[in-house]
Amino acid sequence: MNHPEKTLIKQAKLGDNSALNTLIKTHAPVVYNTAVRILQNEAEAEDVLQETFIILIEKIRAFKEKSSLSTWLYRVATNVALGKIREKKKLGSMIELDVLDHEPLSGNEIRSWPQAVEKRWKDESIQSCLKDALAELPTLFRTVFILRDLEGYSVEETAKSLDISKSNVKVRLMRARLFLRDKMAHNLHCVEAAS
Amino acid sequence: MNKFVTELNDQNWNDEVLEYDGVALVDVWAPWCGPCKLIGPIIDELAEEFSGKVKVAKLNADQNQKPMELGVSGIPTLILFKNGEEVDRIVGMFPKNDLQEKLNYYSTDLA
Repeated sequence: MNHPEKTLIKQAKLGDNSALNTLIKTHAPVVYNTAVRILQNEAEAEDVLQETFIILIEKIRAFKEKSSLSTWLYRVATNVALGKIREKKKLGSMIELDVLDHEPLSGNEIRSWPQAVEKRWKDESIQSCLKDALAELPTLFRTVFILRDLEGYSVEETAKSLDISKSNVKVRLMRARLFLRDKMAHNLHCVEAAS
Repeated sequence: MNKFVTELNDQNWNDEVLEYDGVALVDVWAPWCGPCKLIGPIIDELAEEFSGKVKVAKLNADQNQKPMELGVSGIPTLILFKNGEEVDRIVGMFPKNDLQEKLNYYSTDLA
């Protein structure tokens, strides 16, 4: 964490609203983008943004700074967004098309990412390609991919967050990786841009 | 099927939706889906109310591949198209009034 942010957190804990506002302005884009990625819905992402910062305002004094503020906000935003998905399922207003429960794992070997892509993972053009491919990935797979591969949740944590079995997490993750790999490989301009 | 509702499938998708010049509301559903059964009559009513203004159509997720291609991961999913392009998508139950508002919005020159 950089020093100015530490100072801002300290001031915010002491009730300095201007410091708190600066922190919110700084982290709002990341929180919003995380929510959009999970929910694929801008209106709901705005709700997540608001709820996440309400939590920040309420909990800033208790924030122990064991992780960076951005990591902490990332987690809160993810949990709030996942809560929204669970809420919809619980209300019975929709049914997930969980086709994967009926598909066997055998014969679906996890293929690795092309080495060239992996090496350039931090390359902006690759990130942009991944973003495009992610937008096309069905929610069913996307949330698992985001939690496991982008956020670093364990299989168990992911299963718990989404209220699905661990084997289902693995199957969905495999499907997501295959989908993204094929999608990104298909978009030749992505590979060309990265080489 | 209600006479105001167009039944879609993988074969007629392009003609009925992508090449349709106007606003089309597509309800992706399945016979075993409870929430789909709840929203079904609302869609039928809207089809009649907006007859001549909006094409209202239903796509059975069990019998067609198109929902997967469209990235539909939960049903009911309502997708609005204008001149063949997706302009809005709603997953889950949605109040009739709000749907009417959306259809009015997209079927006028405002959208």
